Amino acid sequence: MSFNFRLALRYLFSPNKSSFSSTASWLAIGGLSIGITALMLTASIIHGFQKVISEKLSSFEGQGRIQHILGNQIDLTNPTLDSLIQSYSKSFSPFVRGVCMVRSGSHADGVLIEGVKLLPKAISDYPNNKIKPGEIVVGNGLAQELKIEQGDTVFLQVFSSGQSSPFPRKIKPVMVKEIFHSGLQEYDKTLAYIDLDDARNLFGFENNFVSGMILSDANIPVIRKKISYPYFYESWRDRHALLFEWIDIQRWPAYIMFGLIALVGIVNIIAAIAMIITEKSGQIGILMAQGTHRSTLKSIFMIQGGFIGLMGGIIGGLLSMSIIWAQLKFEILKIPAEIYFMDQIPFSFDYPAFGLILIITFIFCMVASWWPTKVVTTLNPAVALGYE
Amino acid sequence: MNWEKKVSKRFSESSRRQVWFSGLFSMIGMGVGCFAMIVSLSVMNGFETLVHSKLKGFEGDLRVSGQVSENEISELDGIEIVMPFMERRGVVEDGNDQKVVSLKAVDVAKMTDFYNFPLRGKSPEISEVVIGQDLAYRLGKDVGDEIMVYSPIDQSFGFGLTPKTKMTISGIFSTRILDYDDRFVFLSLHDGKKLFKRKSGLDGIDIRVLKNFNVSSLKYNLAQKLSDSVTIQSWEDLNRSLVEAMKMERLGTIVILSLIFLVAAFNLAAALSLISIQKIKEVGILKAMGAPIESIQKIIIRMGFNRAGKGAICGFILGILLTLVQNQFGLIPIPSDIYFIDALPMVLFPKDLYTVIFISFLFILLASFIAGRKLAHTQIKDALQWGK
Repeated sequence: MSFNFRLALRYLFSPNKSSFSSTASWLAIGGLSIGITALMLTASIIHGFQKVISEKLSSFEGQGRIQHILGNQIDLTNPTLDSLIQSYSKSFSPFVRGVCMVRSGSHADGVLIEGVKLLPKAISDYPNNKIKPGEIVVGNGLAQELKIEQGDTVFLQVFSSGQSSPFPRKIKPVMVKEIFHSGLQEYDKTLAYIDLDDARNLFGFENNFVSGMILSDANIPVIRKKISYPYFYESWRDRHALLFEWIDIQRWPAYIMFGLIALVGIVNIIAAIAMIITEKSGQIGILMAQGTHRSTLKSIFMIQGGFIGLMGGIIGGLLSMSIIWAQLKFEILKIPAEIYFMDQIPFSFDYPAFGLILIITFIFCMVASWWPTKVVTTLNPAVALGYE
Repeated sequence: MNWEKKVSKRFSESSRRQVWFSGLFSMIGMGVGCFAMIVSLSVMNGFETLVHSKLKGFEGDLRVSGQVSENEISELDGIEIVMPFMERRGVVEDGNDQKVVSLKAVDVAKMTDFYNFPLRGKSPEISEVVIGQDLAYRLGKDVGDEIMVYSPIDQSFGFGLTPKTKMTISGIFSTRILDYDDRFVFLSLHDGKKLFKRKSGLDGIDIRVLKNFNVSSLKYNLAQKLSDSVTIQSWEDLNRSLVEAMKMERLGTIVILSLIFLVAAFNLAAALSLISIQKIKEVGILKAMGAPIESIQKIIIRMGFNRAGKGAICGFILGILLTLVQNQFGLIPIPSDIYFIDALPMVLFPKDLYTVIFISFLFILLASFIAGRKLAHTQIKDALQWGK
């Protein structure tokens, strides 16, 4: 181990119990690790929020959907669509969508009905995700509003559209098969799933007609090119572009606020190194008098700064990781779902951001410890020793 | 002047340059903490007041629900204006496009006086509706266009057509509150009574209270006057989860920004312990002369406040100054079409100032206490031998 390393470590882990320089260094490490923890948690929440939203949206809406541009019914035997569907038959599933009223006793509410063959994965681990005719799966927000439970029967009542008005309005009794809880208010309150053929029947679709196709595989690059007027393809990201823009804007004030904590922590390092130099100026004087090069002396304190940065990073990193882990495991911090889309603080491990934070703070630490060492170059051994 | 004060002043004055320097850093840390806390609290208060006033502009201060007559209420003191309403889930339809909305039938003559939201067009008359801008956008409708409105809940289960009413859009409002612009459709009480066949009367009355009149005393008076069958809810009762969320955000901000104080307190503790070490001989002499432990503690705490306190006060004053400047000149702009005003209002309540003062005081006290404790308890013998 080289001389300057040994000296730096000795200053940090002084055998003398009440050594000031080790106290100051540990305080600086503590401050820095709090700052790093705050920054990492911020990054984690922002990333987690995006992730939770993305996962939920994509699981409910598929990777994207092909629909008619005017919302008309689509004929599946249509040649352009047919060829596409034939070639990627596994990735497409048809859906029928419509608005209708759900009634249970005196309670009623409007819902968006989706007729599907398979339920979205987010909803259930139900065998094959299959939904049988005569069954309905509703969100828990809707279930609360209608005061219904699993096994109850509810009535679906379609608002007849203009053309079919001479026929009696359709009312269909269905059994509540399952109540899902997505945590996203929009889905929990307004969405319900029924069987595809039930939906065709309910909304007056012919056998080969659907509202659109759900794409479950994102890796079909040709899709945007192949779909042309009067059909269009919309991914879930396109559909919720505004939401993601909003998250993007929100992140900067958060980073600035939490960056301030780290900044004060880095200022601590400057103060700590400056104080250590002051305290050790007598020893520095002796070392200088013995012919130690100034740059070696400077490097001692730089190493100390680097060590503080490293320890702060490790402690802060471990601390925030364990907080994130605890939150993911035990779901301690809850938030009101009506306001925030989800019901608990969405932490996640955002490793690239964590790495970036650690690297940037480490660089700042080195700069911060370099600055006070400038004093060393102007220190006169005679003056330094004079204090003793 | 008591002697502890004198000694702490002497200690501060006789410190070396770097020590003074590190004291400066603890000042900066505390200042940044105070400044950040005051600014973020006042920004938050500003937004809160904006949201409050917008929500109140939409719902009034108090809501009486149940069978009441307008005359019963308007006799009471402190009422600016009342708005009787009927509300029900209903459907608006345009061709094949159906949307489930909240139909709100109100006294149209008072509409512009009661509702404080930008309205393009005019209040609805008979067979006219006012819809929110998001709904208008989704339906692709503008002022003057026609839509079908009906209320499926009021239909019996039998056969027959759903009676639909053709209505003209007389105006489009924009509140930018939650999903209100997508959800609410206003119509006249006259149309409401025709549509909601199963309703026997009003659902309730919204009340706007005169400025400076105590809302809770009016609530009490109303409860005394009206029968027990009606419920009286204030703005906060109606938006419980939003109020809760705002409280939580405020608490979160205070806790997180306290971390800046914590990190700055670490710095202060380091700076004070450096001074302690340099002055340990003097302290030993003082103790030998019979100075009690508390006096030594007092000296260090006084020095802590002398440094960090100054910083805190600076940050405090700067924060308040920024608030005043923002309110006077409007440096931070916000989109005026959403909030009706160009600049973010920053609001400071005395309660927040007390909180900031209390927290900064607490941290300074804690840091100086811990730094001073070790010094105060040093044995006289050790203190005098230090550095030999």
